[in-house]
Amino acid sequence: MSIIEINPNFNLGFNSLLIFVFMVFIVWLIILIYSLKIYGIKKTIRYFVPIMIAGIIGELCAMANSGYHYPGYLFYITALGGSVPVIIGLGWSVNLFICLYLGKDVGTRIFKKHNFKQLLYISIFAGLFAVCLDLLEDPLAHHNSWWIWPQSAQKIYLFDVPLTNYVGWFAIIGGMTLLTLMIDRSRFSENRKLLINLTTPFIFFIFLVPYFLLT
Amino acid sequence: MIEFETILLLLVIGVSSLIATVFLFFTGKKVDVEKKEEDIANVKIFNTQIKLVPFLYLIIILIMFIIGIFSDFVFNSIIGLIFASIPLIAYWIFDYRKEGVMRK
Repeated sequence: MSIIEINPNFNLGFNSLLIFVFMVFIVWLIILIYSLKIYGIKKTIRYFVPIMIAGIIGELCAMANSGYHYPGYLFYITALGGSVPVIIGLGWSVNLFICLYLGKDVGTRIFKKHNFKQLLYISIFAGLFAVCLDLLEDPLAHHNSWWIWPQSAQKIYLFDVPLTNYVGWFAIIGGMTLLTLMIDRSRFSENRKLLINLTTPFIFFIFLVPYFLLT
Repeated sequence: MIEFETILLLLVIGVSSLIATVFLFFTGKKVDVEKKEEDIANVKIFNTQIKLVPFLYLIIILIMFIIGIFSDFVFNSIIGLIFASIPLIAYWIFDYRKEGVMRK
């Protein structure tokens, strides 16, 4: 279903892409080491792997339907009629870790009660923070051709980026934050938390089926 | 367009995952965990008040802003930087308040 491909024309004619890729990889590596040291291996897997799965699935599905693409990267994951650079998957885990941290910090200080409502507000904050970051990242990426959206008169654009993209960022980061924190706060053993966290992102496939059949 | 077989495969994976998750959820024993301080990720860098994750976020947005400036994308980069600074500003406002409460 999914294979890794190597692009021989890596970074051919795309300025600044190398800086972006290098930055994402270094930040990802720092956060990974930091998470391993602070949270241990099981929690780190829970924080990094499910979001990579969810992010890559989301990207592949959106690509299959809207036709945007990522030119000039080295490693690609090819599936469902689209190709997503591996570094984009790592980028999703960086986004979740940072937005979850900031959302949790702000959310828990505004809503002090330790209940589901607090988790919901933290997730909304994390999703909004992700959209804030995206308002800088995506227009810049489109301008520098790190990824390209075909322009269409039927879609609404904000800074040359489809509005649905921002909605997608909010949904993926907000949803994964809620899921991660709910599993975090459950009273299952760490092994079971890890298994539940790894199986849950694939449930999103069920919701994608009517989307693909209707569009 | 995605082929019908692929959609069917998605459905099978999705349903299998749902069954596996429900099974894991309802067969799991609840364990008593020691109540720990949830937010322990307060590792400070350079022995200052700046913490690692907000610092990395700041580095990311600054690098992207600089790339924007050098690629003739000045106006949108400034607008983007303003938006991207909102999480940091929110974080620092509440962090400052917390420090204030702790000092009292």
